[in-house]
Amino acid sequence: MRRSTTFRIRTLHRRFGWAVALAVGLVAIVVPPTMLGVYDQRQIALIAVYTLIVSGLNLSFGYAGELALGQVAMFAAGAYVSAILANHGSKDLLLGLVAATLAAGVIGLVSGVPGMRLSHWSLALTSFFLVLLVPKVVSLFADQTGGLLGISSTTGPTLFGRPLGFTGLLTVVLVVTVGWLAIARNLVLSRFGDELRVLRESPLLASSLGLSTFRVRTSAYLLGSLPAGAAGCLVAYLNGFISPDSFTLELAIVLLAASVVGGSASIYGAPIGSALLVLGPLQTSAFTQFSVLIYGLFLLVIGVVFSGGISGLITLVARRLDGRLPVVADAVDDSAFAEHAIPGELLGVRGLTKSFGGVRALDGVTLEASPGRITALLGANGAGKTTLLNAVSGFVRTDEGDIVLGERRIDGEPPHAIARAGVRRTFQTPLIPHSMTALETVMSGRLGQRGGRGLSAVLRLPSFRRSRRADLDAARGALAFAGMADVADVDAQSLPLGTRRLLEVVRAVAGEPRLILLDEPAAGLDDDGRAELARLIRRARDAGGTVILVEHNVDFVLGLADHVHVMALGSVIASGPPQVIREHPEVINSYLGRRGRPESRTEARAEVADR
Amino acid sequence: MTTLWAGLGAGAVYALVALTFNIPLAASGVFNFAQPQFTMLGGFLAFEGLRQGWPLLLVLGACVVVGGLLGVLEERVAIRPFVRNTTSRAALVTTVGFAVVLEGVAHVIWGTTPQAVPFPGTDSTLDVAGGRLGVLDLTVLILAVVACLSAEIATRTTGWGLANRATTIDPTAAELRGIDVTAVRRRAFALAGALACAVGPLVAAQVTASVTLGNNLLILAFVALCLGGFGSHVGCLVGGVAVGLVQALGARYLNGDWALVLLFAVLVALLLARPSGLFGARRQRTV
Amino acid sequence: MTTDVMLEVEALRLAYGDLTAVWEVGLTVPRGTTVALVGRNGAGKTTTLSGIAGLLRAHSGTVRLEGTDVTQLPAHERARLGLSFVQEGKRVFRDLSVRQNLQLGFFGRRTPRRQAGRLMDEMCTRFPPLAEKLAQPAGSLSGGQQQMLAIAQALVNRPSVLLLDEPSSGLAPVIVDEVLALVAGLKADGLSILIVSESGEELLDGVADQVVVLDQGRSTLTRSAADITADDITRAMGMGASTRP
Repeated sequence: MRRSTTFRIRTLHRRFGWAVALAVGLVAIVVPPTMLGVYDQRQIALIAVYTLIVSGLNLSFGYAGELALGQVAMFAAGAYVSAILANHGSKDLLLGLVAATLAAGVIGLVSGVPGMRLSHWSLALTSFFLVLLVPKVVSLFADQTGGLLGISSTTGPTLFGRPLGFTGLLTVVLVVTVGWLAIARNLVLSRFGDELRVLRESPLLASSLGLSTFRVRTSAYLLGSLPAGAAGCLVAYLNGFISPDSFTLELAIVLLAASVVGGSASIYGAPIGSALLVLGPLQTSAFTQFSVLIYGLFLLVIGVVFSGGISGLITLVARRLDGRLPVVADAVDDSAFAEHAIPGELLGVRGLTKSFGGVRALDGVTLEASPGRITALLGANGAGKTTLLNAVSGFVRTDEGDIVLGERRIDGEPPHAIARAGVRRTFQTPLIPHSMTALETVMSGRLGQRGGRGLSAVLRLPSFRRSRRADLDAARGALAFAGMADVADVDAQSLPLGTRRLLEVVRAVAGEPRLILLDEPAAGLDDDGRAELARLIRRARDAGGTVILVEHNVDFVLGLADHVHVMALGSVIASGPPQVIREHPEVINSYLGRRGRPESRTEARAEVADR
Repeated sequence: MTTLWAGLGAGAVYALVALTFNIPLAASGVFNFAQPQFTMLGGFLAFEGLRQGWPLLLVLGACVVVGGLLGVLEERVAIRPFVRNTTSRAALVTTVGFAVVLEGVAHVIWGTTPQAVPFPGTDSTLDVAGGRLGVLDLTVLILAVVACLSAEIATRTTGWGLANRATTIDPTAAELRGIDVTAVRRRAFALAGALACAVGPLVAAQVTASVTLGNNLLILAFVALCLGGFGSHVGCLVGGVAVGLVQALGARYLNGDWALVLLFAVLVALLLARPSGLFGARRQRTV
Repeated sequence: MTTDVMLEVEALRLAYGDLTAVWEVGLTVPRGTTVALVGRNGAGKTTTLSGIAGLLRAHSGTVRLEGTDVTQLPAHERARLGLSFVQEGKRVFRDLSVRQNLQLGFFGRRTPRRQAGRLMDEMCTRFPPLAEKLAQPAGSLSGGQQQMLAIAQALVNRPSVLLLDEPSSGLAPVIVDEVLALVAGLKADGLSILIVSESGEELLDGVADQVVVLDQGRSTLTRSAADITADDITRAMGMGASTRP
């Protein structure tokens, strides 16, 4: 009974979380306009507006890991666009919302694309600059914006030609907010959300799975700027008056504090953080002179002590209540291996050369790896094995030579394009994102595929369901292929090292790989772990995969590989089946070790190393 | 010509603040958002000190001490917990947090009213090359040139600079040679803090001490840093002066609001065309 | 009699996160001797050196330098006590000049200015190719010269114990001979050396006094170099029969 997963809070959350959220959302839309007093209604409206902005900030900061401080500028843009439209006689709320969102998107584009060129603080500061520009731009166009004095007359919005009262407006505010949260939730729980999680964990992993990190980051930031624009439009009508005083740097800090307090990497962190700040520090106008100090302390303390915020705390409590996850001692279930086809293709490497500074890491390497075979690269440290692996997967740009996979030449292409061409790899230290189950981790192997994002994900269209189903089936299939169906729902990072290594291979298998690169998969494993790994690698070969194995462990390699290339000083010094390699004199000399060195190669080698 | 001189005076300030960004950046790779708030604080310290009738040197000394100590505190509180985790964004938030705390403290003590800092000699000007140059601007300019050049020279020639450079290039190898990497970082924060705070009185004398001073400096010094190139101390000087001149000329021939928009355009163009800045070296990526 | 054991490692266990790379390693380096640490790739040799140098905190066990327990000290303090670690792969500061690279050696032990000057002169005499290129960036040196620079950098610290991680890796065989000759020279000068090698073969040609074999994170054999055969090593590395002690 203790092992049953049915009653775990996290399982319940995964299955029925949407229903609870939907119910809460409906209550949030229905109750305030009908049952609360005017003061409370205003507070709720303010919370909703902040929620919109903070939720956008979270998409960029919490999920994509890029700190942006410029949401206030998009907020202002949305507000001014709506106010100017209203002053020109167009008070239709729908039109205002669309125009405001578009304006925010344009500003996101202008600040995001250059800001992303240098990472981290660069975007933060570029977008912070935007906020500083708000009063300047407003006073430059004073005839339209009312300058520093502000602009009024954004009252009496209409919807479909009918005037909205305050309660009507409040209902729209709540519908927009709840609707956006639903959109954000659907996006986060789609391939796009998985892309963000993978990217935040490691840009290296993201590009090895076929993602352009620049595209993913920029689209998260852009998308996050849209709700701020909508919020601007709503606030313009709610207040009936706007001026640059509403869009200050201090507000930018308040929003960041709300994000951090509520939990940046969470959909529900936005309403929680906004509500706390609106009902808490923003309320106590008596202490207004302390407010800045308090926000600063929030950022500092929560940043240092607990980076998950309140929603992170809730997750943690739920996890505690669930008890510790069962340790999966024997992850592989011998009785349950399923079949899974792998579309391996021929890899041809010809005359590959790469120099780092004065050292030739690759010196004219030529080799082939064919489908249905395990091709191993053996060699001492610095022999060039890892450089070759990095060259094939695109992380290292080669100087000369070509790399052809199937019919397609892949050298010179960026890593994410090569990954999309079907090259999958594992890492020496398993790269597995936080807070993903084993199943989700394996599904992330299919992120390079088309579909399952954007509008189809937001509306949960049939095409989204199809691609989701395909991902799930492929991931379950790949897990079953490895006999690991049992661990599907286990938090992947809590798995032991050996199982995480297997999981990386399974993730590669799930992505319909044309070539699988394994970078020292046996490092740090004991005999049992190596045996399980060897079995999985053999199964991947037998299923049609093209497998390249880089490994130090001689016994492991010679027992597993169909064909071995031995490298030394950047070139292949011997090739053949394992039994030939074991007896090869030069291999014994340069790698396995015996007394004496062959004189024939000495001079040529000396020349190479001295270059 | 007067406009040019004024631009140089303002640019020198941006150069100095950019330099205080650069020093910790070069020694530890951390961008310290809070740096301009040290300057803001220095301005208020000067206001307070001069009101109490302290001599000028004492004011500056107090700034150096306070700034240095705050720098050490910030390194301990906001940076060190995240040093081992290099991919962490947490240090980004905590330096912003530290900046806001400093701003909040100033807010609590001095309120939002800008305070004039009656620095001796503030009003006197010199006629140089057909324009009027404030003595104060000249002082700041000289200070900026001296500080940036000596930082550049110190980085190239002294043991301190060598330890900094080694730490940035390869912290592990530096540690193995006996360099205390934590101490290197702490020293960088202390130095940057002291310098930033000591610049405060001069800036406050130029434009008054106010809580919002820090945020304006943050942006303008950042643009200066981008122009000059991260890691180049001489680049700070050139970038800062360029920003000051664009701002002054923009304000003279368009108006003050356009000047800032213009600077944003410069920043965007620069980031798109040459993200490494004018003096920064293109970093080679190694996997 | 002062301590004759310069470096003593007892039951050292080291891990990267949950990946235990070294389970139990023990070894001693007596004054003026050279100990070779051999083992296959992945046996934990480099990890052991990192643990001795302080780059990796010990999970358990102790490291003593000239009788002082340094297990809890950070790497830079161990360097200041005279522990010099030459990492694998010609790890010099490529963007810094050769002279600056040598000067970095002085961040270890306190060295009076005059002695520092003497040491620099000594390095220039010992490594003539470096003396010619003092002002050039270290990255412009050839592979062998970079390795010499890395060793020279460590020698400037007047090491009580020198740790060398695969000094011959990635070098042409001719250069390897030069590097080995250099190590032999250092030994003759009375330096205590712990040297890591993948096979240990070349070290048996007279450089090492003692051999410690490492397999799968454990020291499996310690014997004087005079009494050991290649077969002993192969067996202790788990290469021959699959027996494990």
